Amino acid sequence: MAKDDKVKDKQDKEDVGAGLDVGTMNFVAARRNGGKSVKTTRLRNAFLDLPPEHKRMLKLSKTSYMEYDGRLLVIGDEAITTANLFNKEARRPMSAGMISAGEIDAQGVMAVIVKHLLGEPRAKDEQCCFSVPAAPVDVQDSDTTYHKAVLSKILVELGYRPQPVNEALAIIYSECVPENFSGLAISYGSGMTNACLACNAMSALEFSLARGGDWVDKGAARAVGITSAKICTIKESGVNIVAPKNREEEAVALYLQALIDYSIDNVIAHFSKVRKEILIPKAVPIIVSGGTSLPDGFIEKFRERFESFKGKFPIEISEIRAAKDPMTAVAAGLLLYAQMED
Amino acid sequence: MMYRIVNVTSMNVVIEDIGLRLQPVGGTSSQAIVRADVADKSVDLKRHARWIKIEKFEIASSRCAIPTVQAPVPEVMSLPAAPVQTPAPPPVSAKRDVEFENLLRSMDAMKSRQEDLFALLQAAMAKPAFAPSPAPFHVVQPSVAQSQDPVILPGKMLPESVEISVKPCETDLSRDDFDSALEALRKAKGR
Repeated sequence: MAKDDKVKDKQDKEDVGAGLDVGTMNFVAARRNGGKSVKTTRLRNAFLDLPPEHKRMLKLSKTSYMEYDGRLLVIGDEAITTANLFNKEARRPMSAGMISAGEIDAQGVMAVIVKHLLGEPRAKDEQCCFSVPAAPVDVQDSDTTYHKAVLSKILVELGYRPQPVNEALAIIYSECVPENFSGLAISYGSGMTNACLACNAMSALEFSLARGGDWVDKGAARAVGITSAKICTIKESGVNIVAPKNREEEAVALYLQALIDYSIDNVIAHFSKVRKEILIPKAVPIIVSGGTSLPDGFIEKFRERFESFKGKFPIEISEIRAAKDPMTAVAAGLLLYAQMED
Repeated sequence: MMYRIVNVTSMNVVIEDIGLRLQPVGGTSSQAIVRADVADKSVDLKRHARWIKIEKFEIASSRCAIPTVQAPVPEVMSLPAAPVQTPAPPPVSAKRDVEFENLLRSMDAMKSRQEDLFALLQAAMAKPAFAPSPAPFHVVQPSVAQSQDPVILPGKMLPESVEISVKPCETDLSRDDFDSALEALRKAKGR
């Protein structure tokens, strides 16, 4: 084998393995792209029905869509913008971190999104780690079995070897390298908030809460009398939650603060219950991540609220920091895990 | 012999080879009645045995519970020391005989109507409620931890004959620390 071929072969092997963050709002895939580059691809996990005659317009505007059974579905970010245009709510394949029970097109749309984000496997039975939430502690009779099975089935069908990994633990993998993968990660997603306390890459405790960005959107929308989709657009277009500029932003800021309080309160309650069983030898960082933590001022607000709970906190905290990129932190951590497994 | 098959889980259970779909427990279609010979041949029924409850029953016994009617029997009296004239059995009136015959006839008619209905039911049940396509459903057993409940998924997740145009948002992250992070994770996990 020529030297160049050997180098290419080594490079190809290094590129094997994929991470897939299965979010209620976004799907993010991460793959090695040769050398030190990691390529992430993201697509909004939403869709909207349009009359079939709009297909030409969608093609011209290079909008993502799929057409089957004589139906035309806009998928991705454009589903949200189009929904806003028609004052409708976009359809969502997932809700509260898991596959929507009442959404009949959910699995088909998700399969299409996953296929286009991951592409063809780079090796036979290539490992693909996908994110799963922990079981929510504030919803009774909810489990992740069906959700995991559907995602696994999609990945097997596409030629991958699926491996579910806790979403918040994936953040520890990508963000807590200096602390030897010890820390407390809180992932503020759209459907859920996930928390994981890990020590030396081992998950010590994980749980989730059935509140996230969607809960904020719904609450704020109800408060000011507009649709959740519009609130979501306002929130994503750049709200500073420590200095809101209008009534809608004020509502978003209030609900985000309530979400932070709720999550810290639950972290205290659940970690206090197992305080005697878990020995964390030294202070660990809190990593704040997830799409809902993107608004300006979120980490400042978190630090401020944490101070008010500090006396009750069950573990010693060294610092509070935001993930380097809250949108891709989970996918990057999953990629690391997939490559380690391969 | 008939079997009553009851879904005892909170998930849908599909017995594919006899075309049976049982809704979760408490649902309107969480149970079904199947002929014993059909059920006995089903491989999927045995496979899903832990998720369902099977009760056997006889249609004939429950359907034709006709009370046995007997003519009144005279009481046998103990014999006294001295021989006495044994009283003759009370005579059954002719009118009562006619009523009794009419009752038996109407019961026979009811029985025959029920048998017709039963034959119809049997014919209907010989054919599955929906015809199983080559692989419409099956139980997935991926390499992930599963709970005790069965998970039944469509045979094919990716829709076929679909026209798709997807343009995901792509970002290249420069991760100088990726290899060192991978090495550190391997070390932490002891690999």
